[in-house]
Order: sequence, then structure tokens, then C-alpha cells
Amino acid sequence: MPVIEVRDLVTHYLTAQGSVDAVSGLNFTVEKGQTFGLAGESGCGKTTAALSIMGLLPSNGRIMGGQIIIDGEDLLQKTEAELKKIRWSKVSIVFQGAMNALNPVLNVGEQILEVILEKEDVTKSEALDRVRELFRLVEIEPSRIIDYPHEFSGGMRQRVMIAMALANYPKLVIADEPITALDVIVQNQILELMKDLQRKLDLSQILITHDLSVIAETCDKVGIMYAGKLVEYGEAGPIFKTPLHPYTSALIGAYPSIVGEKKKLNFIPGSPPNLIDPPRGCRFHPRCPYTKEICSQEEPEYREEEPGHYAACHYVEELRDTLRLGD
Amino acid sequence: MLKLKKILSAFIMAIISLSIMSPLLLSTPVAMATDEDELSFEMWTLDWDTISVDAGDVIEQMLRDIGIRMKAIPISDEVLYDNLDLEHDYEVYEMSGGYDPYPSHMTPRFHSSEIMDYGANDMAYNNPEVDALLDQANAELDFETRVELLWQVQDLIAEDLPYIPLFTSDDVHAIRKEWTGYVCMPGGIFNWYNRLTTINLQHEDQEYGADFIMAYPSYIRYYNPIMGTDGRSALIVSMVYDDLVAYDADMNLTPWLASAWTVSEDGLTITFTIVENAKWHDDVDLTAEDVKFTIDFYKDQDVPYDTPLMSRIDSVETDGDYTVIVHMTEPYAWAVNDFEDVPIMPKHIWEGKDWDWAVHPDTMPIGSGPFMWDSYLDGEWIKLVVNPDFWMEGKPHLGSFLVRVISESSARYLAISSGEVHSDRYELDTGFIDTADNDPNLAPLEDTWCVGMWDYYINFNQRTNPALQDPVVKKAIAHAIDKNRLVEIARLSYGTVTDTYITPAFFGPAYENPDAITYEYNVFLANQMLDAAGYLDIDADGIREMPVAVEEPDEETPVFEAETIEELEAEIASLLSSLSDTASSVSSLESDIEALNSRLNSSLNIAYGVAIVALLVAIIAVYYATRS
Amino acid sequence: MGFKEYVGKRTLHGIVTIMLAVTLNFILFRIMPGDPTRAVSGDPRVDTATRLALIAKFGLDRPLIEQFVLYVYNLLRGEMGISFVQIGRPVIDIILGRKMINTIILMGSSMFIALFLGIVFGVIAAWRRGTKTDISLIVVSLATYSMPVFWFGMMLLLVFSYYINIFPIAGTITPGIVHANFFEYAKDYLNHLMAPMITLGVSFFGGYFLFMRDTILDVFTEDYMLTARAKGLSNRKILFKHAMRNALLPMVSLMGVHVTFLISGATMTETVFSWDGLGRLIYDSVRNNDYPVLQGIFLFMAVLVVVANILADIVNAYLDPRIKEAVE
Ligand SMILES: Nc1ncnc2c1ncn2[C@@H]1O[C@H](COP(=O)(O)OP(=O)(O)O)[C@@H](O)[C@H]1O
Ligand SMILES: [Mg+2]
Repeated sequence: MPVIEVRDLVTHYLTAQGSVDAVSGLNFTVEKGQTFGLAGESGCGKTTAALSIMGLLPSNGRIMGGQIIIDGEDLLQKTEAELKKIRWSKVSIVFQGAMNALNPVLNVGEQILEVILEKEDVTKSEALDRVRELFRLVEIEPSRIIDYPHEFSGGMRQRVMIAMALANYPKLVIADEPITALDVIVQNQILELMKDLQRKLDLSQILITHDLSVIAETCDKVGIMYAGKLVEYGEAGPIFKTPLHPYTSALIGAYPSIVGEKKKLNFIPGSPPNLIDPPRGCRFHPRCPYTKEICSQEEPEYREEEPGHYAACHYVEELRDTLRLGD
Repeated sequence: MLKLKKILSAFIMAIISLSIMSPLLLSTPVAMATDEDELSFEMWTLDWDTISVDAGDVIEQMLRDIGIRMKAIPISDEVLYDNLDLEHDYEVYEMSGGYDPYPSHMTPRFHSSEIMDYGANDMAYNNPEVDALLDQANAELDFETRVELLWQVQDLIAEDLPYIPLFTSDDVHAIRKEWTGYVCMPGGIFNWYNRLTTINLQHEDQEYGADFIMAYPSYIRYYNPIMGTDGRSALIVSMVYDDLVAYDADMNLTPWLASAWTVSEDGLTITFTIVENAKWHDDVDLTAEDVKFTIDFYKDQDVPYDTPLMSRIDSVETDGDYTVIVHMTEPYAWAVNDFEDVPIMPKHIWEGKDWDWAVHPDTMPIGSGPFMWDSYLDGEWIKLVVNPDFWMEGKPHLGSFLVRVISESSARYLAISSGEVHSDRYELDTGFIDTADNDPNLAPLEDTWCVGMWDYYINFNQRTNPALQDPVVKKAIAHAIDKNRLVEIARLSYGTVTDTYITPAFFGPAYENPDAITYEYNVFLANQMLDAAGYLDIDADGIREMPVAVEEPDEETPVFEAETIEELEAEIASLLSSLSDTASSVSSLESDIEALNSRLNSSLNIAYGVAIVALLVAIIAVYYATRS
Repeated sequence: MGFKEYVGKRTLHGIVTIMLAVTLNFILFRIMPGDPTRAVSGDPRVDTATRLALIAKFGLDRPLIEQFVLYVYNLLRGEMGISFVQIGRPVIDIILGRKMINTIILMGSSMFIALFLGIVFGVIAAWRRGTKTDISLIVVSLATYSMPVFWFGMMLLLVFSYYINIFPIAGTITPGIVHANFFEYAKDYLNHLMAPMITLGVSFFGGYFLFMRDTILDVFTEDYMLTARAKGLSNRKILFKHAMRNALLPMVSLMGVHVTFLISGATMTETVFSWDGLGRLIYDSVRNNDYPVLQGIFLFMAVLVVVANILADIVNAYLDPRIKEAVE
């Protein structure tokens, strides 16, 4: 049974200018011990998807449809009180490194401790032991649990966040841009730590990033989002070798690989569309180098092109060879 | 953010200080350009005194009928008194003076010796004839003769008219209806010289021993009986201490601690016989020795109170335990009256003390009066209890007298109406009269209505506007004011119209002069007088102009055309008079410039002060902004 | 820089401020129109000779600069002079006595209530932003915020002391009686405290509430609030542990600044309810031109503001580990 299954998730934001279709149809599953990478340019709806799963959308966010199934139960059918229980004990989240996601006036130990005590029936000293244990796990001196967030560097703070995310031994950890805004060396350290922990604890993860190279390093499965829609989804290997969607191909080209030599840097011309009034037909067509007439008129079907490999493009067959990346 | 907070806090502090001061700042009068050629004046009224302000507005309207603009401007007392005391450049004011139980106000208000800084003769009225008559009256022992002298003074003043009497604001009291025995006396049922109320006051169901509660607007100023001359302290002083003499309900002198007195024919010796059963509150007997001590104490320490009396006392001696003989340096007509204001103090307590000894908190005041200090909470209340050994048989009736401070006038009224207190130290504010009139808990206002001690009048500064030195203008003004109407509006009819400066309704019928010069309300006559004197409204703006000066014959080269000695003398006299005219006009010009300067100065002062304050505020702000 | 040095430096700043206030004080009162000798002599009935004698006694006839030097000199010796109005009473005695305690109790209790209610309701309103609860709380607080203290006090007096008669009409204690024991005294005192405390409390409440609601709404947009919610903490913990602790920081600073406002509010309330405190003393002294007392009070206020600001900083340092570290 998958740890999480998201089906046809649709999330909108209501604004004075109109409804922002931030996520319009998202499907994926994450199996136990697997890491799923969700990638796409900034503003394509990744964070919205994560917040939808956590049930933490801002007040103008509305989930319009779909299912989010964890442990066989649809989260969207739960009350707020039930969701509170599920949060952190079944699924936790690590926010972007640059955010001050830690409360500045409470010491970090306290912030981890409180959630253990809130969720589980343990004594305070047991909980404290666990906090120390978690610190060891993320390679921080346990004596630092009484320090305040401002006393840690950015990378260390992210380690604290990760320790906190693991506080209740959840099955699933969502990491939303966990290494963005950290410097490169620290980025690698954090990524290594996450991979390490995932292996050690048999964790399932959703790794959200705009940087495909990060996903190439760590993920079992990948979903590529463009303008709120999933354009390609499948095992990491095939996607990186034989991308079926021009956007995926462009994205892979747009980012240098972490390992190996730099590849050609094809920036994607143009910018992502306004999600209040997305383009008709294929949402990518205004920027697609292979666009034909039909692209601007008919929305391409999201299909399983190969076993376990999905894509949404009118010209999958025609472009298959063009998009294949030589290695 | 933090910086902003600091600047803010500095500014706020400054603003708070300024806002507390602002009533003072705002009330600074704006120098109004009065047209020198018109009968146009500024009349200051006292901003917190609704009677003064209301009467001022009505007077302004009334004088429009005779073509005089009398702009009524409410002014804060700080500014007003500052001007009266030091600057002396106001034009006209209208407010109340305040009477003593005998007409002691005449000398300070009209004698030229009081034309000085802080002097009581604000308007600088200077008439040697008046001075002489006042001096004569103050030394005249025979009452009838003295009154006649004062009548002459009144008539002289009525002719010069530096001052128009208007009315007294009468005393009506809110007192709960179950209390009886209070005595109505000019000045009100509760007044420092009204000793009759406090000894006779009783509850209708309890002849003796009832507990009376009185509201005070603020706490007493002084525990010290010499200095306790303000209304709040003085009432308590009068209950705790005895004077030698007192007043009855008709304002005649009556015996008090002195059961009798005689004044020698030459007025130089006054002999008091002291009651024999008086005791101090600490059980020591009160004797003539204490009386002598008190007078010596005033003299030895140059106590700056009751100086008119004390400065004329030469020495005091006792004759046995109950006779005191006072030797005067000169005959003084009001000597016995003035003893009404001298609290007799216990020698065994005051010996060795300074005259300004605070008393509190060393000890409680000890006197010989009908009430004794029992307990008090500084700033809040004072409890007096009856003196069981009081020398007057069967007095007082009350068991205790409690004074409670209630700051706000509405709260005081509510407290009386609800019965939490029984009366107020002071008369009802005009604004409460209607409510009190219909309040079933209170005694009918008619029963508490006494002629008031606050005499309202218009005062013309003799230094400023030349038009105000012309009696015709002032007489016309006097004729044009309907005083009955003023009383109706400003005091809802609880007032008494006054036509002379010694109001018989207050000081007693003995002062009534049927032939006194008075000015009845007659607008037609007033207009006629102004027309005749050449004050005409030439530019037809409703305001009369000053009369056009008739060209004087050329004075520079006087030619003697006299043919006889008599004619020569007359010519020289006329020449001299024209010279003196010139001199006086020069001096009046000088005084004009002086007035202008001082006005400029005072406004500069304020601007200067504001600048300094602004600078300091800026310094503080910059200081706060640049640190941290 | 050590904490001690920090406190020392703050104190030095405070002293400079107070020196400025002293000068300001003196000048403000002397340039204002108004003749202090009216206060000295007490009433217009006092004759001219008496007035002149008193003017000389208080040195008011001397040049201003001489008076100032004398004032500062006396101040340095810890003397604030003697009241013009209550002659013979040292200003220090008048200010640092029962009146000060009365004011502290009144202001302290009403501030405590207003703060407590303001914070709790502010948090609730922010949490329920846009709901009926929020809107009705805003309406109520705006009403109390803009209501003249004097008027509200008068209304309370009318209703509760006159018509219903459950609160006494004036004073801090029932006059003229001897209390059996301390508890009787305290009960009586509290009974007198109620109405002025409610008046002041209500008048402070609006401001605190609005400020708290605003700050909390700001805090809500902070990332750590999202974390707290993601952690599935109870609403109470989210609000009162995570949001409020952070919102208290600006609140404490505000309180430091606010002290002077409290004093002006206290002046009104103390006058309406005849509460014998410093506020009423200000009122009486302004009316009587009692310069020494006013100077004393203003100096006291300046000290209070400085102390309150230092205190606010120290409390903030305690509440906010970032400041504390910067200090140490
Ligand atoms: N609270 C909001 N109200 C309206 N629009 C929003 C809100 N939050 C995000 N959006 C919009 O929704 C889209 C998706 O945003 P987001 O999920 O943050 O993208 P990503 O995480 O991929 O960068 C963007 O166009 C963004 O502008
Ligand atoms: Mg994002």
C-alpha cells in the first residue's frame, strides 16, 4: 500500500482578480521508503500542493476536488480536529531554509519537545531523551537543545527543522525547497543527511524543488509540474533519460547537473503563465518550441505512454527521439 | 523601529506637558486692534466663572443699543490676574470682587495708595478727595458719621465712575431637607464668619448629637489658623478657634469669646472682657493671657495677616484672668470688626513656634471653639467632633461634623441628592439651580437664599483708553445696563442688584443712602448723553466715534493783549493751562508707548517660551534619535 | 558589553533626560502667564501687604536665573521646595506619600485588567478575524477608545453610585470611621477602587486591544506560525505560546511609552471619583499655580517615563532572546 496517494487534486486561491488555479489536477503515489520529487518552475503550484496535503492553505485557498489518501483514509473528508492529530504524527513538513520557520523566542529543544508531548503519551524526560537522540541523528551537539534559533547558522537551523520533522517518527516527510537559499556546500551536506536518514529510517519523502539536479540525485519517482498541472510523471531513471514532454526536456537542460560536467544551458524562453487566466489548450504552448496549431486549442491528454511513465503532450511520439538526452 | 519609539516617547512627554499647560497657552489673549477713534473696548471676563462670562455677553449686547462696542472676552484667571497685578494694561474687566463682613473693600479698591504692583486698586483710580475721606472714615469712631463719610466717598466715585456695580451673586445652598437650624446671613449659610449656623445646625429628629457631612471641592490649604483664610480652611478655623467677637444675622457685631468690650472716647484703648468658662480642647483653661499672647505673637513675628489692625496696636496688657486691654497707636474705626478675623490661639501650644508653623503633622489643631479635631486623612476628609466643654450653654447641637473632599461639582451634587453627604461648602453653581429647585430631597432653595458675598462689577482701567476717562461715556454705559436682566440670565434671578459700592442688602440697612447718586436703566438718556458730548456715529457702522477735536488757537507765539492786571493774570493762567495740557498729552503718549511695549513684551515672552520649549523638545528628540 | 554596563549606560541616558526635563519644567512654569502669588496668598481677600510679604517669603521677587539656580541646587540636595498652596508641606512629602500609592494602585490595577482583557480579546479577535466576534470586539473597543474618560466616569458615577448605589461616590476610603482590622480596611478600599478602576480600565482597554489584535495579525503572517500549525498543536498553544509571546514584544515597548498617557487619564478619573492621587494633585495644582508641586510631579513623571522605558527594554530583553544576547 502506498504511503500517500494523491488523486486529481485541484486547489484554487480566491482573489479579488479572480480565482488562481494554482493546482489543477495532480496525481501521484509515494511508496514506503521511496522519495518522490516534485519539480517545476517557481509559481507552478508545488507549495500549494504541499500545503493542500498538510491542510494548511491560507484562508483564501480552496481545495476544489480530488483525494489525498493516507493510510487508506481521505484527508479531505476529515475534520480539522482529526487533521490536527494526523499532522506531524503521520506527515510532517520541512520548510524552505531561508524562512524563519522556528519561533525566535522559544529555544529549539522546547519547540521539538512540545510537539512530542502534544502527540504522544510520554513523560517529559522520555521526550527530552528523544530530542537529544534526534539531535544526534541530524548531527548536532545534543547540549544545544537549549539554544535559540538565532544562535544557529542557516544550515544548522535546517538540521533542527529536520530533527523536528522526525520528532513523531512520521511515515512521510514533505520537504519544500529544503536547501534553497543555503550555500552550495551546506546544500550538499543537507541533501546527504536527508538521503542518509531516509535510508536509516526507511522514510518516505516528498521532495519539492525547482532544481531538477537535486531530484536526479535523490528521487525514486519524479513529477514535473507546469502551471498547476502535472505534465510528466514516472520513475526517475526513464524521465531523465527519455523525457516525453518538451517542458521536462527544457527543464533538464536548464539546470546543470550536480555531478559531472556542465551541460548545455538552454534557458526556457518566456515566463510561466498567469494562473488566473491560464492559456487555452496546452498550458505550455506559448513557450514550447515545437508548438503546432492544435496545441493552442486542445488540451493534451495525460496518458500512460510507457508502463509507469505518464505525460501530457500531443506529440509524444513525434518528439520522442528529439527529446532523448544523449549521455 | 526602536528609534522611532524613542522619538515618539520624547514627543509624547512634551505633548503631555504642553497639553496640561495648553489651557494657559490658549487663553492668552489675542491683541485686538481696537480702533482708537471709536467707542470700542475689550472687556475681559473670567473664563471659568459662568456668571462673569454670561453677564459679559449680555452687557456686550446691551451696549450695542447705545453704539458702544464692548467686546466681552473670557480670559483665564492666570492671564487676567497677571495683568491686574503687574502689567496693568487691560481696558475693562467684569467679574466679582468679594466682600468682607464690613465694607473693608472700599480703601483697597479706591485709595490711591493701592496703585502699585499687586495693589488692589487695579484701575488706578486716583482722587485725592476720596483718599482723604477714606482716611477720615477709617479713623472715625462714631458709626453714623463714618457712614456719612462713606456716602460722600460713594457719591464722588459715582461721579467719576471708574467702576459700575452690577449685582451680587447670591448664595443658594443645596442642603438636605432634614437639617434645620442653619442661619441665613449675608454671604451664605456656611461662611467663615457665620458662626451661628455651625452651632445651631441640627437634625429634625435629633436635637443633639447628629452627624453632619459636608462636601468640599478640595482639601483645606492650611491647618495653621492664621493662614487659613481661604474659604475651605476658614470655615474649619472658625469652628475650632474662637474670635473675640462675631456677627449676628444682620451683620451687627456681637460678643463671642469677649462677652463685652468698651472703646475709650479717644479710640486709643479697647477693653475686652473674656468669658470665664472657656477651655482649650486639651482641657487647659483659656484666660486673658492667651488673648494677649495671640496679639503679641502677631506683632512680635510681624505676621503678614490682619496688618491694618495689628499695625495700629501699640501694646496689650491683661487685668486679671479675664480682662484684656489693647492700646492703639491711633484711632481705628474698624478695630473691633477686625478682631473677628483673629483666631485666639493657645499660648501653651504656640509659644516658641513660628507664625507659619504647619501644625500638621506634628499635632492636630487645638482651639477653644465648638468643635474639636478628631481625626483626618490628609487630602480626603476631616472629622470634627463636638467640644463637650464649649463655653456657650447648649451649643453646638451636632455630634460631629465630617468634611469630605469630592472634587467634581456634579459628583458633589449627586452625593447630596443621594444623601451620602448633607450639604456643600459652597453655593450651588448656576447650572445646578434648576435641578436643585425640583429636588425633593433638598430644602427649598428659598430657605437657603442669602445675599451673596460675590459682588460683580465693571472696572475701567484709568490708564489705557482715553475714552474711558470721560465720565460721560461711563455714565452712559451705566444707564444702558439692565441689571435685573443680568441677574435673571447670569444667576437665574438668585442675585441682588447693586447700585452703590456698599450694598445695604449685604452690609445692613444702616448703609442705605436714599440720596445716593445712581444710574437707572434708561437707554434713551444714555444715547442722549453721548450725542450731547459729541460721540456720534459718523461712519454709520453702529459704533460711535470720538468727538472731533476743535482746533485750538495757535499756542506757539502767545501774544499778550492784556490791558489790565486782571486780564494779564487771566491770560497767564490760560497760557499755563494750555502748557499743562500739552504736557499731559505728551505723558499720555508716553504711557501709550509704554503700554504698547509691554504688550509686545508679553507676547514676545510667550513666543520666546514656546521657542525654547520647541528647542528643548527637538534636543530631546535628536538625542533619542541619535543614540541606540 | 556586559549587562551591568548596559544598565549603567541606560541609567546615564536616563539622567541626561531627567536633567533636560528639569530645565524644561522650570522654564515651562515660569514663562506661563499666571501669578504664583495668587496661589501663595490663596484668595483675593488677602490684603496687599500680606501678598507682598508672601512673595518675598518664597523668593518670587528675585531674578528668574537666581530662582533657577536655587531650584537646581535644592534639587541636588534632594529638596523640591515647599508647596505654595499647602504651606509648610515639602513637595517630596506630598508626592511620595499616600497619593502616590493610591495612584499606583489605581493605575496598576486598571492597567492590569485592561492589559489582560486587551491581550486575551486581541488574540481571540485576530484568530477569528472578520467574524462577528471580531467585528463586535472592534466596535466595542473603538467606542471605549474614543470615549472621553471624564464622561464615562460621570456616567458610571450616575448609574452605580447614584441610581443603583453600589459604589461609593468619592474618596479612597469611607471617611471618619475606624476599621476593625486590615481586611476591613482593604475591603473598604477595594469597594472605593472599583468605579475608578473600571473607568480607567475600560478607557485603556480599547487601545491595548486594537494594538494587540494588529500585532497578532502581523505575527500570524510569520513563518513560524505556519510551522506551529503544521505541527498540529492545539489552538491555545498556537495562540498563547507561539503568537502571543512574539506579540508581547512591541506591546511592552508601547507600555513604556504609554506611561504618560496613563497619567493624563488618571488625572481625569481621579478628579471624577475624588481619588486622592497624583492625578488629582496635578489638577488641583494647575488650578492653583502651585509651581513647586507641579515641578515635582513633572520631575516624577520624567523619572517614571525614563524608568518605564528602561524597564520595558529589560522586560523585552527577557522576552526576546535576540535582544538579550545583543545586550550581553
Ligand atoms: N495566498 C495566495 N493567494 C493567491 N494566489 C496565491 C497565493 N499563494 C500562492 N498563490 C499563487 O499560486 C501559484 C502557485 O504558488 P506556489 O504554490 O507558491 O508555487 P511554487 O511553490 O511552485 O513556487 C502562484 O501563481 C502564486 O502566485
Ligand atoms: Mg514554493
